[in-house]
Amino acid sequence: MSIMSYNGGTVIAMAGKECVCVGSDLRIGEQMTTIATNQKKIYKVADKIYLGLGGFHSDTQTVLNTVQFRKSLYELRENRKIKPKVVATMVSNLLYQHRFGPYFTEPLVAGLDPITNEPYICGMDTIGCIAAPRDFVAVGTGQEYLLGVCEGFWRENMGPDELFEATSQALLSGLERDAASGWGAVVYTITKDRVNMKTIKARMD
Amino acid sequence: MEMPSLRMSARDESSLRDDETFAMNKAKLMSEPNPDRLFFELPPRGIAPKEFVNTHFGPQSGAKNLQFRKGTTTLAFIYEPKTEADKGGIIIAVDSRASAGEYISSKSVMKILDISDNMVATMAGGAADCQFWTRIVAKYCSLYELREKSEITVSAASKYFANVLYGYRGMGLSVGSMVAGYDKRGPAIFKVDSEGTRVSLRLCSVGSGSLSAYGVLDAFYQPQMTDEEARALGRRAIMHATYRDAGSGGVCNLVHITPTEKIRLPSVDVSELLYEFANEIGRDIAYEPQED
Amino acid sequence: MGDSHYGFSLTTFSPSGKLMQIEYALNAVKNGQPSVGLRAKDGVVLATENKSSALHEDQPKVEKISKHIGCVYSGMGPDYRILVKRARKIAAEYELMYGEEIPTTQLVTKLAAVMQEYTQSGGVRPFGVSLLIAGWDDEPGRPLLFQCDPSGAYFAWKATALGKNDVNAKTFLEKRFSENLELDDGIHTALLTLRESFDVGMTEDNVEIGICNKNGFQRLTKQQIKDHLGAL
Repeated sequence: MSIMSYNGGTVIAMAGKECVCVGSDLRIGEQMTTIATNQKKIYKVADKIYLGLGGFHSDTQTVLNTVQFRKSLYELRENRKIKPKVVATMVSNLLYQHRFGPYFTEPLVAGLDPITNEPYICGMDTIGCIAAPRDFVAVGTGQEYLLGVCEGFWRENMGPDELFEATSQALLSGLERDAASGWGAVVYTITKDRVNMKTIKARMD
Repeated sequence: MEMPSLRMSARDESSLRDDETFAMNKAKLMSEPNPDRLFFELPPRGIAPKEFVNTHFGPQSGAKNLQFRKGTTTLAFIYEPKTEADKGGIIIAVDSRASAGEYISSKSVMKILDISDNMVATMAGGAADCQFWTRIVAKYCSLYELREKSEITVSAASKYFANVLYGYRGMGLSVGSMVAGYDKRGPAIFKVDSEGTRVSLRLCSVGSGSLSAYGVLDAFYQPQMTDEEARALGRRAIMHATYRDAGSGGVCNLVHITPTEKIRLPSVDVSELLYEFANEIGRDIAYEPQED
Repeated sequence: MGDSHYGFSLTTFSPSGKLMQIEYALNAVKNGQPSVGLRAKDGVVLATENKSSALHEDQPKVEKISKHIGCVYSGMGPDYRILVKRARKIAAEYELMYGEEIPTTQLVTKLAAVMQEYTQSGGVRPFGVSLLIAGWDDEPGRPLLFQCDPSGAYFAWKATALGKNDVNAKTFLEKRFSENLELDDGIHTALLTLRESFDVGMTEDNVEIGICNKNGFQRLTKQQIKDHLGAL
């Protein structure tokens, strides 16, 4: 088993109309053994910007800490709110700096522009290649299954409620086929005035 | 003993003339499978089968979803009836997940395979290996019964099984099976594996989730139990194993072999079992998202 | 002991708390060719005298730094070119790092830090230039004008002048500046201000103009300058 799937875990993000959804499973394991079932993989970077991190948990934390540090410094230096796209570029650069000894993590950025509230989602590989589709992205061990399922659930211009439903259903369906993810899930719906966090009951095997 | 024979080794073959080899291979490929004699096409040029399979279907190969199906929890135990109303016998409980790496290739595999009217074999390791060789053992048992006009013992059936597997030792077969049943000597469980091991046990678990299952079994198993207690124990052990082990999951299939009959009980969803269990002990397993 | 005793190559405080090297650098600026910067409602103008030759297309004083930022100087040309090179590098690095153009304030801060470094490092002297930096920030969409001095100090202006005759030019600007100027009027006012410091007649061969608005920073062509001069 590769390091990328040592801990397991999956994150997904979907874009809607003036809102984005980002969800993850709750499992953390050591190879085939489940260690805990309360480990979300979505982290807040700014008010309306969330970073999803799949892959090796230890590297995930290192990347998260570095990104949060650099984001704080950016906002202090420039005295303005960071944009999701800038977070993505920042993460991408951090990852590429380790091109020849990469962090074993695939990040995903999802959020709304702090001023225009334009939705933004993007996924990356371990060395920072940004892919920013307009519909959905997924990272982690269940990536392939989720992307397939998302094709069926995503619709143009979904509102927050519809988007939450689509994201949750896609996530749950994807987890059904990935042994390294699951044991509960959490979905964040980011709209211009609030972020709604919701736990989803999932299979516990 | 009737042993399925391997095709002649690659070394013998190389001594044959090329056209002869060709004709021989052609004849084999063109003909219908012969139920009396087993032929296994070996890799070419004397490549070791185990190595060949590992190269092309192993975890390191590009064929992520072509890896052989693995990952399981199976268990079996013998118990004495506690009251007059109970039957006692053997409980065999298994999960139903088949996985290839992290990919769950099936959620509804039946891992308790019939060998005879009062005997089953469980399936762990390579699914195809288990299914195929269990069929061979089942065939052997029915032939034995017809020939000897008496039921084969669990001991004899499992010994045949172990011998067959031993014959293929080193070729990469992956089998971890429990042959369990009731015969004239009483209840018996034999654990048999592809390395050739065969041991008789009263309480046994096999598979990637076996450690978790053992944890529950060792804590709650008693030599005397009611049928309900025994079945609940089997289910609970499987449930706990599926919770901790990513390789196990799906539903719990359970077979109860009593001195007189073999009862296949309905499948129970392990996830439902877990939520029931959490409720029963009053543990709140719902995750509360925290603002960060 | 007079101040002159401390005027060696090292930037060292005089007992009265002055850094003579910086004072001298400012003198170099004061003696330089005049430059004017003016912030109109919808853009910024930079104008300067370029006496060097009729070939100033090849030796420009007004330089572009990034899409929305440009600058001009008064003082020593060679020092200026070093700073332009640094400014462009700062802008490019920022864009590489964050995927968007550097905000004008960020560039000014970073460039000022470079100039400050040259007042405190060993083996170097302060830059003999003051800069006028014109920029346009997309958020919230406004023109910006900054002055950057050899000490590393920087100021935001509505309008200002550098170089020879700067005091008179600033007095002139105070009288003529209005908040509601359109960019074209701004160019007009800037040229009028510049004319105050000119010994000879202004032609398209000795004047350089750069403008900055939401479309970016650009230098005016000789023909465009000629047209504007004709309208004076």
